[in-house]
Amino acid sequence: MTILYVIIPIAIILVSFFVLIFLWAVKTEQFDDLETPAHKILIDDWNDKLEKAKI
Amino acid sequence: MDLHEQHSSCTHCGIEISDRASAIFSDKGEAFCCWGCETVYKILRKEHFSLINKPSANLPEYDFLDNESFLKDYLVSVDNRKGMRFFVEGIQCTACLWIIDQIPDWVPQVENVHLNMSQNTLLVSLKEPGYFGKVASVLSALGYKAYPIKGLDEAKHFQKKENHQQLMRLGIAAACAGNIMLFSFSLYSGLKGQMAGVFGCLNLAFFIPVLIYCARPFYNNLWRSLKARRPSIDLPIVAAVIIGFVLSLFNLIRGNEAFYFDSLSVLIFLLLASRYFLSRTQQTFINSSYLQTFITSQACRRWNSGNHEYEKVPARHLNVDDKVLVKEGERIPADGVVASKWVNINPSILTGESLPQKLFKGSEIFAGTQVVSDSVEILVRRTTDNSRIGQILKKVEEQIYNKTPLISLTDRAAQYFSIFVLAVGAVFFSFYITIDPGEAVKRTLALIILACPCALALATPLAQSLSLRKASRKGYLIKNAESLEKLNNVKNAFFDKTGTLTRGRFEFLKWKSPDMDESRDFLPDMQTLNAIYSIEVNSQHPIARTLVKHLEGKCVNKLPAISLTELPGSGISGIVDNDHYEIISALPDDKDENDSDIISSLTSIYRNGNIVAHACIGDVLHSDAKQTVTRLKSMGIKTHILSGDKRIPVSSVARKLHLADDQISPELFPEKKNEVIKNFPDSLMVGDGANDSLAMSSDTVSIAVQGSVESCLVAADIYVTKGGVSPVEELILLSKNTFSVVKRNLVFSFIYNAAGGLAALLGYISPLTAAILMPVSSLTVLFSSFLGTKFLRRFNK
Repeated sequence: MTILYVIIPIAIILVSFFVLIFLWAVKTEQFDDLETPAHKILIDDWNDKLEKAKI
Repeated sequence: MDLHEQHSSCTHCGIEISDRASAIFSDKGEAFCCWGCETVYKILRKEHFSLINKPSANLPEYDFLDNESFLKDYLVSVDNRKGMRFFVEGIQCTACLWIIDQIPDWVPQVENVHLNMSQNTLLVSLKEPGYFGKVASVLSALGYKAYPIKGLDEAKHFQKKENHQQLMRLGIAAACAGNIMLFSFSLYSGLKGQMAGVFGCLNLAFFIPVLIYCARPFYNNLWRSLKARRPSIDLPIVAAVIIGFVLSLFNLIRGNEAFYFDSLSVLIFLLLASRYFLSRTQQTFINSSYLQTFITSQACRRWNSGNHEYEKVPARHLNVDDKVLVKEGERIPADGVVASKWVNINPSILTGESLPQKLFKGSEIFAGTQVVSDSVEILVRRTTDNSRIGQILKKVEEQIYNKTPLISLTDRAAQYFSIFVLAVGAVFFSFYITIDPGEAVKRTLALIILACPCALALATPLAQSLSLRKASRKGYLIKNAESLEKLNNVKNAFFDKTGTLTRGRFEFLKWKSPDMDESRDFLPDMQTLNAIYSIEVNSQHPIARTLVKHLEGKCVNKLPAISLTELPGSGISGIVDNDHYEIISALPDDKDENDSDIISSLTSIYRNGNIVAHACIGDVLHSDAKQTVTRLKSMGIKTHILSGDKRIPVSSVARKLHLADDQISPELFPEKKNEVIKNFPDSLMVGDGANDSLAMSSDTVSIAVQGSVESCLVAADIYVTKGGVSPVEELILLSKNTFSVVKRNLVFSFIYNAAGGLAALLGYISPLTAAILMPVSSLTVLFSSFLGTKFLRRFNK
């Protein structure tokens, strides 16, 4: 059972790490628009290739 | 050939071209992998070229966007650049995003555009000022309609922060609840002794942020409703959380293993999640800051007697007795009198009337009406803010502000239910404590936890937000969940005529012979058609334009027309080929019972004094109008028509829709429409113009259909981006279905709570079992809501 004394602190550290990342994501407005970036990912591709074609 | 060697990949899609022989080269030497790519690329480039040079890409109606006084309220700062936010109508898919993303290429003064597809807003930032109007007209040339949105003010900043806070609360609650459940797992599987204490302390440690930070909205809500002396749905939630926490803490100190941290934190997480999703689906971005923009922000030409020329000033800076020049197509900026000889105006913004009006020198002219033909000089009598339309808009704004929020059915039920449960608990406790104090605490707590109406609180917003989301996919923007509930109880539907039931524009219907004989089709001879075309092509009158549009492409020739004269009333005369023609429009008489169309104008053509033909011109009913009215009737909803138009066209529409005479109210001023509706409780108003917005802002539920002016958009609860009136029926069906699901949830939850509560009081259920059963009941209700949204699939078809 002594393994618990290692596992539990690790669990707590992991939780606080993920919570902090989540809070950072909220504060940098990453959840404000959930739709557009999903579409944008398709378009960037085309623009990159356009650049490549110009070269 | 050297030129071609440079390209190794397709210019359009970017695919590597391996076989050079099969590649396709354009005139400019661009390489393509296939004809499809070449064609699409060409169309896109060509479109880009013609778009920028299109006259519609430079509309004067958007000039006001770059006005000094307008920018004051609407500018936002984007990375130290000047920016403006637009609400863009008509955004559909990735292609829309792509096209809009090209704007900086087309308008080089634009620094950046950012489209938010979930809110349909577009943020535009400029390198140099003065090009917002250009961006708006490019958008309209592309087929989108853009409305400017006021810059982020205090309230909106607060709202954004509030949204972030909600999300952070939700995230922290999720993390804590998840971990508490993991730790509790060992307790449920029978952990005892010192280790149980350690896990209990861990649970406590993770529960404290939930208790202090995540649950704060519930405390605030409770406090607010207590202050207002209203029962609150949050009362049992807060009671359960506090009592559960105290009891668990007590047990922890005593070395007992009965903790409720897990169920309490899951409860809070689920509640937060459902409330967050509901608030996220509600469309709140169209707000009252839109109001008045379309007239007050326009620039107008004021006569400066000092240097004898017109100077441009914002409409709101006009004073009484100023002389103003208004050009064709522009709106009158202030109430006044006509100083020119005559003018044709389109009064539909105030009256909804479809025919243009001819005003002569000295007659009163109202702000907001549109000049149809020839520019006009007016003397200002009342400033923009004091004008009739200004007063109406002011009233609309006040009414929106004072609109009483509807306390939703489930909230009300849950409120009374929670009071009842607490009362029963208190009575039971005070009675049982004399028999067995320990058991009394346990059973009361079990009752409170079990009977917490959170399943209710959860399922209603869920069903609603699923419906709202579905509706918004179809292009129906519902601003709040309450209007969806109000739609369920609608008994009377009021429709505006022009632009709502009808298409709202003139269309050529048919020719009629001089003796008005209906039995045979009639077509005037070529000579007459040529003459009509040659004369009417010189007129700006809407009826003339309709005729010209109809005749174009009918192989008519333009002949020289001389001595053209505008006739008093609505008409024009001229000489073509030595024949004297008169073309006169009049209201039709109402004898034509069998006509399938609504004739709003009967234009008679005279040659040398003899009548040679009649042209019927009118406004056509939307194809779905009749069906919708019939379906509404079968749902027990009475349809009424409210219109500012004359009795004859209104009753002719009513006949076509099989409506009785008491169901129409013609010749109504905007102020009166509101009063008519007030007499009918549970009513629905469907409209499209500023003259409807006052009626829309009253306590009824209101729908604005496509083509609405801004004031209408703001005042209405629901905005439909699709033409026609069939969405009205669909929305009512959606509402009815949503609330049948909600009712089922209510019944289920009531039965469950009654049975569970009784069992808890009789001692069959311990607080721990209650805590396990409660999320189970919530899940059942969730499941029922999702099942209930099956109807949404039907709605989709």
